[in-house]
Order: sequence, then C-alpha cells, then structure tokens
Amino acid sequence: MRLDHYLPTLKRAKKADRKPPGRVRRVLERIGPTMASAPLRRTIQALCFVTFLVSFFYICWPYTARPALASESPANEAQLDALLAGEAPWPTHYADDLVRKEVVPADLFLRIDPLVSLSTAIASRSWVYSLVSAGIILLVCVLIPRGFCGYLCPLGTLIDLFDWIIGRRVKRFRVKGDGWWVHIKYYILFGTLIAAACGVLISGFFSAIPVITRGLLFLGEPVQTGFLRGWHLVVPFHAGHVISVLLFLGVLGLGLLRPRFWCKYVCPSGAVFSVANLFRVTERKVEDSCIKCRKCVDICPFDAIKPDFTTRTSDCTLCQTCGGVCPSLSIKFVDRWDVMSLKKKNDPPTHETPLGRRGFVSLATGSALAVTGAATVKTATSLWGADLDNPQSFRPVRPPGSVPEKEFLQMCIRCGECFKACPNNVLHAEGFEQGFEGLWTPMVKADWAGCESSCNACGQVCPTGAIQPLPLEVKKRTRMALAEVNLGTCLPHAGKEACQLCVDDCAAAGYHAIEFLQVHTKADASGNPIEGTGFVAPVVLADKCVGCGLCQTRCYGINVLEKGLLKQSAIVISAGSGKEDLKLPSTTV
Amino acid sequence: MKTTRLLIFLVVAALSHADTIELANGNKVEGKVLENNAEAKTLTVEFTLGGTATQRTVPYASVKAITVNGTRTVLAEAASTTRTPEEVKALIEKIGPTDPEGFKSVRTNYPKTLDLSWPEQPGQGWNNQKNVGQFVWDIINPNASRWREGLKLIHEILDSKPDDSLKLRAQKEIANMHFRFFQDYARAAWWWQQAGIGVDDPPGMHLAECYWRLGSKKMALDFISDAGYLQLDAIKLLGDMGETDRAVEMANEYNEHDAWLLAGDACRLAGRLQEAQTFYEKVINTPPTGQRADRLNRTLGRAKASLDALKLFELADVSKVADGTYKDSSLGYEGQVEVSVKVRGKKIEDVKVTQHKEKQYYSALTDVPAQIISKQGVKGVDATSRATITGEAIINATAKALSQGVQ
Repeated sequence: MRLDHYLPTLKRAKKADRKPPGRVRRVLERIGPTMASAPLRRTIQALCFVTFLVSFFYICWPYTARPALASESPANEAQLDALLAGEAPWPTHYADDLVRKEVVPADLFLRIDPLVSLSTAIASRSWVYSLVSAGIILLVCVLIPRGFCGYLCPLGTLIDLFDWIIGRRVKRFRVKGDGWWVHIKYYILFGTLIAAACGVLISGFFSAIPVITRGLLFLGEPVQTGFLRGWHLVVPFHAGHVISVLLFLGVLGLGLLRPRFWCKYVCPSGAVFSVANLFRVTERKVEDSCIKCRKCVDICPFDAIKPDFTTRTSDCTLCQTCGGVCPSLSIKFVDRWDVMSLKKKNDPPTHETPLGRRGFVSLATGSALAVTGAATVKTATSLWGADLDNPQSFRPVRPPGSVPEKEFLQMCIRCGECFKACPNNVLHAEGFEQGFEGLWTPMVKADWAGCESSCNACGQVCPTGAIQPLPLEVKKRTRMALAEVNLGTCLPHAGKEACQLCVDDCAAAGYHAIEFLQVHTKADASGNPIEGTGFVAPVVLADKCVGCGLCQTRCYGINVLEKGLLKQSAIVISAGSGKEDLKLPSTTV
Repeated sequence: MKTTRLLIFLVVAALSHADTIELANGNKVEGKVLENNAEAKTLTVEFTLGGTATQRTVPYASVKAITVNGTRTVLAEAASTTRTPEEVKALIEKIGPTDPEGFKSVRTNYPKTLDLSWPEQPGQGWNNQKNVGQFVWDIINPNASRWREGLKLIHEILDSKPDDSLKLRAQKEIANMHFRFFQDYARAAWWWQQAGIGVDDPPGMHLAECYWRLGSKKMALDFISDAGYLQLDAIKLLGDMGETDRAVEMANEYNEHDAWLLAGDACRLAGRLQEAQTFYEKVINTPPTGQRADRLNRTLGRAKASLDALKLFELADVSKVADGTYKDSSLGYEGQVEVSVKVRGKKIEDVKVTQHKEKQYYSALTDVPAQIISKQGVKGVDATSRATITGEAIINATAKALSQGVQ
C-alpha cells in the first residue's frame, strides 16, 4: 500500500538534461517549499481553513435572514394556513436562513475535535452525539496518523499562517533542542480527562477548535458586527473576554518559540491523535538509499523526524512535505508493516531513549502534575463555583433547549459558537458570576436583546448537546425563563404614565403572553368608572410566557436608556425551578 | 356588470404571475390565481412556499380583493350588501337570538369572589374582583383574548333568573359587547331591541349604526330623525355614513368643542382636509366654555393629534417645502431614529438615517428611505415587515422633518 501524494524532486543525471521546471511547478515553488513539495496537503489545509471561516463568519452570521415582506409570501404550509385563517403567521426566517446556508454543519470542526465530545461525555456521563463524528475522524486518522493536525485543523493552519507572516521573521524567542515541554500535551490531556471524570469540564480552555472559535468570536465577531451593522452593537468586553483573548494570543505567540509549538507540545486535542497513532496502519518510512542530507529534518513542521531520519510516529502528521524535498527519493508513505529495504536505524545515533529512565521520571512528574492540576480545578470549582445548592446563588438564564443547569455546566464546552449564531447577541459570554465554573458559558442578557421567535440557531450549532437542537415548533413552546412585572416601578402599575411596550412586543413576536389590566381607574360617586382615567397595565400569563426577554429589552431600551424614567427594566426575566423547561434529552441523537 | 369585470380580470390573472390576494380576514398573500369557479364561487390559487408550489381552493367569501399587474379588483364590492329595512329587520330576527359560532365551548374564567348579583350601585371603593362591571372594565375590556369569556359571563348572569333591573342591564351589556368587541351588528341590534332601547337612550346612536352597517342607511336615518334632542354621537354616525354636510350642520348647531372635533373627523374621512383642519384648529383655539377639565383636555389632545397627523401625512406635499436639508427624529425600537431629508426644486433628493441605536432593523434603514424617495413623500410607504417599529420611526421622522420646511 502506497499513500504517496507528494511532488518528488526532479532527478536528472546529467547537467545538460536539466530543463527549467514546468509552469505549475514554478508557481508552486514561488508560493514556498512546503507548497512545492506537498501541494495536496496545503490545498486541503486551505480548503478546510476557508470552510471553517465561511461556517463561522457566514453560516453563523444570522443577519442574512430576511422576514417575508409584509407577511405576503408564506415560507411553509403552517404560515399559509395561518394567513388563510386570519392569524399572524409564526415567523421562521432565522431558522429557515440557517437551514438554507448550512451546506456543511456550522459546527463541523467542533464535532470532529475528538477531545470536545470525549471530555463532554465523560464529564456529563452521557452520550454526546458528536462522539460519532469524533470516532469517524479517529478512524480516518488510523489511516492518516495525526492527519487532523496536518490537514484539517483550522487552528493549525492559522498557526502556519502566523509563522509565515510573523514567526519566521522574529527569531529572538526561538528555543533550541527538546526541553521539559515536549510532553506537556499528554499531561494536559490527562489532567482535563481526570477533571472531566470529576465532573468539571475544562477541556474547552485548551482544546484546539474551541480555542480558535472563541478567539475569532471575541476578536473577529466584534469587527464583523462593527463594520457591517454598527459599532454600537458590539458587545462590551469584560474580564472573561480578556482572559480568552489572552489565551488565544498566547497560543499564537507560542509560534515564536518554534513553528507549531502549540500543536507539537501543548495541544491536548493533538495528544488524542498522538495516542491514537499507536493504532496506526500507515507510517512514513525511509529507505536505505538515504544520503543523510538533513533536508527532511529541516523542513518537517512537526519535528517528527529523528536525527537518524526515521519517524517519531506519534508526531508525524503524514503531511509528506519531507517526501517532496528528499533528493534521493528515499521517503515513502506505506503501511506500517512494509519492511522493503529500510534504512538502518540509529544511524547517526539519535541518543533517544523512548521510555528510558529520564522518560519515566518525566512521565511520573507530569502525571503527578496532571492529577494535582485536575484536583486543584475540582477544588476551585467547589469553592468558587456555581454553588447550585444555594437558592441565593446566581442563576443565569440559559439558551432555549438547554439541559438542566448542573448538566449544562458539565456539557457546555465554552466554544462560543452559539454566541456567533445568535441574532442580536442575546447570548452573552458569562464572566465570573458563577465563579470559575460558568466562565464563557452562554447566558441570556435580556437588557441587551431578546430571543427571536423565529430562531433556533443556538441549539443547531451546539456541538455537545448542552443546548438541544430543537425544531422551531418545539422551541417556540420551550420555556427558558419567566418574565415578571415589578408592580412598584412599572409605569402604568405605579400610576405614572401609559406604557404598553412590553405587551406590544410580546404580541408582535407571536406569544401573546402579556395581557392588560386596567389600573388606577377613578370611579364616580355611584362606583361607575370615569372614562379616560387610569391606565392599562401589563400582566404576564405564566402559562404562555417562554421567557424570551423581548419585553425586557424594550422596557430597558426605551424607559431606562432612552427616556431615563426607570433605573432598571420594570419587567425582568429570571430562571429557576418552575420557570423553565430544562430537560435532558430523552433519546440519543 | 361586476361579475363580467371579474371574469375578464381573472382571465388576465391566469396569464400572469404573482397576484396579491387580500383576504377578508385582513391578511394578504401572494399567489397565482389558476381557476375561477363561478358555480362553486371559489378561486383556485397556487402558492409558492419556499420554492415549492401548492394549490388551495379559496371561497369568494373569504377574499376581499385581488391585485394583478397593479390593478386591484374588490370582490367584496361585487357582493356588497345593501338591504331594504325589511331585509335588515328579518336578518336581525334571524341571527339576533342565536349564539355566535363556537360559543358553547367558551369557558368563563372569573374570580370566585365576583358578586354575580351585580348591584346597580357597586358601593364605595374599586374592586375588580367583586364587582362585575369593574371586572369587565379592568380585565375583560383591555384583552381581546378574553372578550368571548366576558360575553359568556354576562350570559350566565342573564340565565340565572335575574330581577328585571339586572336583566335589563345584562341585555344592554350583551348588546354593547357584540357591538364593541365583535362588530356583530345583527346580534347587537337584537339585544338592544330586547332591552327596549329607543333613539333617545344612550346607546340609541349605536343601534342606528347597526342598521346602517347591516345595509340600510335609510333605516338608520329614519330612526335618528325621531330623536327628541341633539346627540353628539349622531355627528360621528352621520360622518361615518357619508352624510358629511349634515354632520357639519349639526356640529355648528351644537357649537361646542366635542362637536367640532367630530365634525373635523367627518370632514377628514370625506377627504375635505382643509375644512377638517379648520375644525381642529377651532377646537384648539376656542377658550373653554365650562366643560369638565379632564374631558376638555382629552378633546384638545385628540384634536392636536389629529391636526398633527393631518398636517404631517395628509396635507404634506413636498412641492410646498423650501429647498434645504431638514433633520428630525422619532422614537424607534431602541431609541430616537434621526433622519435628514434633502429637498431641492420641490423634490425629495435624499433621505438618510443619520443616527440610530436600533439592533434589529433588517433592511428598514435602507428600504424605507428608498421608498420615500421613489414615492416623493411618506404616503403609501410600507414599513418593512418585522422591523415595523424602525420603519415607522423613519416615516414619522421624515414627515416631521419635511413639515419644518413648509412655506
């Protein structure tokens, strides 16, 4: 079995025979040596990176949705029936728009990051549907060991771009040799899995796709929103955002130490593939025609070639760049058991002892650190966490279709995909309101915006099922919170002035969950009402309210910000038992 | 004649695309009229739902009008009802005593504390959990979703063998609810007749309106001609019926703020905008003549609002606006939406939203200004659906800005 796809160097015996290279080769060479030697790999990388950017900036950009004009063009049978029956059709444009654009799943890369689904499943002790896609990609990677890192991972590609633009020009931070850091990724993986086993999900901090998704969310999304919709719509930053951005910049900054430093030594998602490499069926092999020129060692982006030019199999991504630069054409990519005329091992000597004393010591130290780290995280979350048993503790309103709060904290990978897909940024990243435990989880901030009745995007793009993918029909009946009117401040209730913003908005969204009550009516001597006195005031119907928060948005926007009549919205949504339908999925998807 | 026109129209309709069907229920929907079945009085319409076509058969009765190639034909007109007084009487006798459709399944929902004996004098203090009238006023009236159960409640009281005074009150309230909530004129008229309402009783003008709405203007006019004294409501009714001259004449006879306001409304309805403006201004500029202050204030407030709307939207004409750039703002979804309008040579050259805080606006910010420019005014501009609040704010702000420059 041969898997070679690299572009071999032109080998011609006599100088006189040398012709200038063809046009294609010249173009590839102009782009760079890695492109010239393994163009297929670079092309796949570029395609995946573009796919990732498109799914993030286009598929998860809800503002391409347009409501049917004046409700004249129904989008489905239900809307037509409603029109014919004289009702206002339930709007579906956000949901329809996402379906239309989602040629590939918006959360494709999150799904195939194996650490995302694996750690979520362990932490929540439940089946996570994206385990399937992670399993598939792991199977593929048995054939192409660590191919995910070399070909698919958008963070890896971004790091390559960083190195091409900045890293290769800034040499002063470069480190030499192999230090204590070479096995960090295993310890981080080990630590996050132990933490997950203790019910604390921290893999989202380090996992490759969540890291890049959050990075683009907090850096790219504000720019996109600012330029395309207006800078007043950019969500204000808090400490949680800053930490995430620093983490993301740190990941890129590691590229100054060595190209792909993060991928090689730190990334725990990569470590999953390195471990999976034990089961590889293919590998890079070197024939005895090797002339020991070191070209392969120099170009290898993953530091996967030993000084004797054989392969560090746990690191090789089968990118085949080495094959393209080898002047003697000695490198081949074949099945693991192929032993045709192989080069002698340990020549020159590598001085490497795969699991010698030093390795054992570092393994022991690292494992101890990982266990200690996981235990620290576990303790930290119990001391400075969500404190769910305390009824006074902060309870954020979760997106519609979320699993119960305890499970939510164990299943939410904190990737931020739902924020991106949410129209008007109803979902904000939590800071430290629930201590360390709720950091970067999505919470509804109804002062900012209310949940659109025609949208179910958050559940559709959630890779772990922390937000269930509800059909719009179900989502529109699923309660996420309950609105309550403050009788002391609500303008008509308090007898100050007429106001029906919340009622109008609730009706316009289609819920009709707030009705009127005539208040402060003056009566004449015989007890009959005097026409024109008093106000109609809002009353929330608890059985109809889903807690979307549109009422609060309007009251806050107009009565607090615009008119300055109130300090806080007089109608506020809140979560809590009896106010929400947070259910665990009954069937596995 | 009407039917022939409709038939020709439908033939044309069948050859073209994207017709607009205005339904009797107020909704509009786009589709293609495929077949007109005169026998069964139905239209077969093809609707396109997200790219796939589906056919529905719609009875004439549920269609108000259809528009093809910009030509609108009103179907309801063809079947519009003019009835003789005898026919109206027969209709009231036939429908009046019956229950509205599906009324049996309506469930009442009122507090147990409600005193169903509904004393005429509820006594001191306001308690909407005890007094039927106050319960209806506070909780039934403001909520369309509760109207049917409110009607049921009064029916229950009527069924509980009340004394004559309570029976009369219940009958009047039932009539009132049919009239006010459901515009169900046959039933309203029947119940008022049961209660023995004459033209000089308070709901007399409403009863007259029922006769007119049911198809006989003559019956209504005959009824009010017997009136023993001048009723304010008569001005409104005359105006609504198109008897504008008589309404104006009556208002002048009445010679009071409320009457002028109603006369203004009548003129506005008839398109006599200058006269309407004069009446509204008269309401605002005439010193009070001893009315109750709260009532006068309401009248003044209404007159000002109507005058503003009249000036901004109906009398507005860009040809009267001096060259220049005008700015004004109006409340949108999240705050003030500021618009700048540039007028040159009696034409609206540009409309721009210069400031806003809106979050959810779709294309309203660009669509609505473009519509205003192409229509050279705010008349007939559609606020983009689902961003209506933003769209309307732009329309209002533009109208206000233009009014600044009226010469």
